[in-house]
Amino acid sequence: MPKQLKVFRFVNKQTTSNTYVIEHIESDNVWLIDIGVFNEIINFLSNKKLVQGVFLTHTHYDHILYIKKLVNNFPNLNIYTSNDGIRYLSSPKLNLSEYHNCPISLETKNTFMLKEGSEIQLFNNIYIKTFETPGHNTDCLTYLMGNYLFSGDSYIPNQKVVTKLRGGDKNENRKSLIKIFDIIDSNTIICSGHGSVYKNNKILSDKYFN
Amino acid sequence: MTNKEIINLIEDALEIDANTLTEETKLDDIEELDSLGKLTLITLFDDEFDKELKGEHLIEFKTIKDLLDFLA
Repeated sequence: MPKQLKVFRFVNKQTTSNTYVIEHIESDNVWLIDIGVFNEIINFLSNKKLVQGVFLTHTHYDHILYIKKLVNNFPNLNIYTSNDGIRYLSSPKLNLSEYHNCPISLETKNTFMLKEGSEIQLFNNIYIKTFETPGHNTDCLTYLMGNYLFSGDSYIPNQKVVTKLRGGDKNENRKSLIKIFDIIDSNTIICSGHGSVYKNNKILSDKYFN
Repeated sequence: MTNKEIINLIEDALEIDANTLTEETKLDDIEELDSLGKLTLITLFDDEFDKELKGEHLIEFKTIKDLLDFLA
């Protein structure tokens, strides 16, 4: 990956979910992976930076907590999720936000469905590729950008994947883990939905990763 | 649905081995009933029984029997 590319991690202290900001120093655009943190990200972005889009690893409430605020601040941004994710985004019951007293329901024309193999260009010569990894939930997606793997809750190093929530499936999870482990090599930087960032079984700096 | 069947549903949802829980089992003794487990139970009651189980209930209830009584 070019050195101009940087990935930053932000943590919601209550839910422990990670939100990642992907920026290129030669671009005015940034991209997000999930949106469980808001103010810290807005403070972090200089006025010149525009959030171009957000890639959702899945639509559980802790990963979409500030999606409405994000859309209000950046009305033209694109939201990328799976087919089930589009459905869950509009239902507080299905995205579990209803049970946390923070009902989230969003339907926007700027939501796009990603499937296995879908690729989106983020910056010049930088693409992000989609892998369907159900198991934690039916809508789970994992993204690969160069050697950065954004695995959401489908794979969190050193933690058992939670499959007991609605939409969870142990067998699907097993298949997804095999798929994810096939992608990972010693250069892969694993940016999961909770916890630290790992490379080659070692925790990387908490600030940014490149 | 019998109490036994409901208990089996709870075991399945919480990923506990079948026939582990009884009506007398204390909720505090169920390791799998952590915060995610409680959420699992809340969604199970909503999906399967159309009953609104709340976090407050899970503090108040002591045993599996209390959950069964709530559904009765």
